[in-house]
Amino acid sequence: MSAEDPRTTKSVSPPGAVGRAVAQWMALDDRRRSSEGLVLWLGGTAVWVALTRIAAGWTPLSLVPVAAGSVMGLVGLGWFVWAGVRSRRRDLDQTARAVDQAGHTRELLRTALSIEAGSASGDAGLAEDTLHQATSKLSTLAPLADRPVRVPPAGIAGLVVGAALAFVPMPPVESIPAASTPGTAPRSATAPAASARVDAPAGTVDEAQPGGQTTADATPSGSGDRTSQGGARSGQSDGTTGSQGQSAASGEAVGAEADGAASAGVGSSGGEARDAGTSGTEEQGAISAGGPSGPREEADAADAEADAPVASEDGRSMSSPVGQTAAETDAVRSDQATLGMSGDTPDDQDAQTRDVAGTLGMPLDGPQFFDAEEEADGEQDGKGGAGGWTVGLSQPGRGGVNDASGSTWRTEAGLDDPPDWTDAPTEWVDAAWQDSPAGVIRRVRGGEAGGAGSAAYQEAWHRYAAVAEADAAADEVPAGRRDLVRAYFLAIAPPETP
Amino acid sequence: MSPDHPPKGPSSPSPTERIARAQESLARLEAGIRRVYIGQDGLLHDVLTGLVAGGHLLLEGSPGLGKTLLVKTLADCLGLRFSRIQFTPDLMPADITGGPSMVETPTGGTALQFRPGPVFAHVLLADEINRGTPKTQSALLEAMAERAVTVAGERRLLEPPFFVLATQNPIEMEGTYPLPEAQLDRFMFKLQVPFPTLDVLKRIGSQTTRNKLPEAERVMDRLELLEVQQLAADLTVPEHVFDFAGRLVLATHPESDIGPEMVRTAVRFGASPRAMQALVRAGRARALMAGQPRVTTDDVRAVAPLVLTHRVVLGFEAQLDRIGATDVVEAVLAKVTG
Repeated sequence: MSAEDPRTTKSVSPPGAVGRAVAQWMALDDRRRSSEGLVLWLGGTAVWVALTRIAAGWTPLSLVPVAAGSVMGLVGLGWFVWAGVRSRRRDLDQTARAVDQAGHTRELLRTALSIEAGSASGDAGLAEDTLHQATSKLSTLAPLADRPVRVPPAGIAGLVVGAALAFVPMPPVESIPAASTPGTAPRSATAPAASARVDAPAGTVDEAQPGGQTTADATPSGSGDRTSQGGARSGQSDGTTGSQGQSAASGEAVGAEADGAASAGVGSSGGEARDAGTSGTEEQGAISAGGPSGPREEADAADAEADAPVASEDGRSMSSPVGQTAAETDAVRSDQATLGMSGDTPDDQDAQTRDVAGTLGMPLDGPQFFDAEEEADGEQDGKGGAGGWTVGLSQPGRGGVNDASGSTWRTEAGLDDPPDWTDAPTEWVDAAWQDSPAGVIRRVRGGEAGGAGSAAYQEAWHRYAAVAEADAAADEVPAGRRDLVRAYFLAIAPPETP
Repeated sequence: MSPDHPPKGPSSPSPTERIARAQESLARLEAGIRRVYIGQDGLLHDVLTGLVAGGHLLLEGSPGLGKTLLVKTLADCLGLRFSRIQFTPDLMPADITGGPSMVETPTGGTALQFRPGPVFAHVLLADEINRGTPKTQSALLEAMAERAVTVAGERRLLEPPFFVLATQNPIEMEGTYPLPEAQLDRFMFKLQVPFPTLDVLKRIGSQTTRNKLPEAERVMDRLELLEVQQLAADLTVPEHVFDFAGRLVLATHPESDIGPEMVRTAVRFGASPRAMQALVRAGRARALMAGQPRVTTDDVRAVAPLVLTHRVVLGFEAQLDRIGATDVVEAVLAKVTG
């Protein structure tokens, strides 16, 4: 075993047979080391990629395996780089030293290299004898046999684990973009657009792209393809009611002349979905009839702003509703928080109150109560009468409107009947939501296709409206704020709600 | 390759044969010494290594361990001229080197004639050298280093081989004069003479208590010894062995950054460049005795404790921490060997 510092040993390039053989071994050894490092790197990368794919939900728990895979990949990469650097630092002398150690040749090759380089001292005859011994020994030495390529077990394990993880199905967790923190979200925040791709007449959701553009391909029965893209865009708010925004947020793919066509998921109602129609920007959501029998329609740009959840009471001011279990109440409040219904400052709430009241045509000088008679009378013109409010409230603005009963649907131009998405397949899923206390919220998937008319949306609305009504009736809630709560839920009510 | 000697002619023995013959001669010498000197195998091997390397040896051990017998037997087996100097405080330098003396000329007159001292020998035993005064001890400096003696302004060369074996008693410190570092550095090895084992003691009791003691026989002549020494000097030493030896020497210096921490705290002065020479020469001798035509780092490592221990000057902190030179050298070897 040699012990001198390799840095002080001169690198020589001997012309002799020993030098050539050692140089060849050095090249082979370099390739061996690089191969080992490459395998380790591939293994780490495979694990990292697989874990990243599985943990696409990016829950806090999923970050652990992702981080572990990342570390493993980085270690492998470091190994690979280190092996490369080390092989470049090694010289013939160090390679000969390694071969001598493996072959137990008592530094024969190193000495021969030194003799060939002329750096050895001693009698010429003895030196020739040493060279002869080294040359004879070359044929018996097999450095690769003594130092075979050993694939790093960690690399193999990484490849196996990565391959195995590739067969693990991704969990049904949707990635929802983080909403603005309640109370701090700017009112002009652009609502994230939910992507809804409806291929079937009933409308199904293929995927939801966090923060991406909304793409909704709706194909009404027998009417060919209808495509509506409602992207959230900046624009001036024209005071459109929250119901419009929410309607679009629920995945309404009609989009044609619908105010607040900017689609947003249910959980994204905390912001404002703006369309730039009023500012001259053309609405991207055009309805096209791609089918053989369906007329091609183009939806004009909807220049309205969906300012949905502007009026909500802080959950702390609501008492527990009668008949609601604590768990349900917590769940609802969690969703309320998700919906941006809490956390607003008093100033914000006042401003929201004015906005909503103005939008809905509500007087600001006093509370407006639910008027059953007016509800029965219906026939709201959709322009926001100052009287009572009913489910299926007419939608002011230039978008599609419902009549007061919500039983019919017509566009402003009256050219089209509303699609029937009541039976659209929807399902409740758990979705990661970092702003929720539990980190997960319940979300209606498919509701984007069914819109406000879907069964799941109706279920959610009834459930939340009951809790909100019970909470708003509490004494702690100012009277003026109670109507805001009611107005909010009325505004987002399903069309067929009586 | 930088040949130190021209290639031998066709009739010259091959290097392998030369090495084999040297090994055979050294084996005969060792066997001859063992007939008289019982036990101490390691010590005998080290003494022969120093002899082949052409270095001087300092033997340190308790009285009665056979130091003088070993040297006397070695000289007898080699057929070399042997001298013994018993160092005492009143010993004068001229008692070692010799000097001019008044002699009667054939014509009846008188003249000054140089009378060689005991230093003019092939094997010189300086018994209990630490009992001599520093002035007397220094009389050996020139002879040991330059193999020459200058007396009355005239320089006289010593006939090779010149081999000094000095002994000193470590347990009797009163009335002794520790060897100065300069003189210690001239000894290639400092060998500790261990106490014999029970088996050796039994053999000593059975073989040396009869009236007729075994006598040493001449098994090797002077020229043969010189040839062996020359062959050892011709062995191939590759560059990495020089590198290793040099790092060993540097590591004994407290100001060096390649040595262990112990050196920085316990050592006052490290080994000299003469230690480097001794390492390489002793490594060559060891390789030859092993039948190898080249010197390896293992050879240097094996002789390093013998070469470096007495060349390391310890400081006061080493005494406080009970750190010996042997500990320092072991730490140096561990650090440099890595």
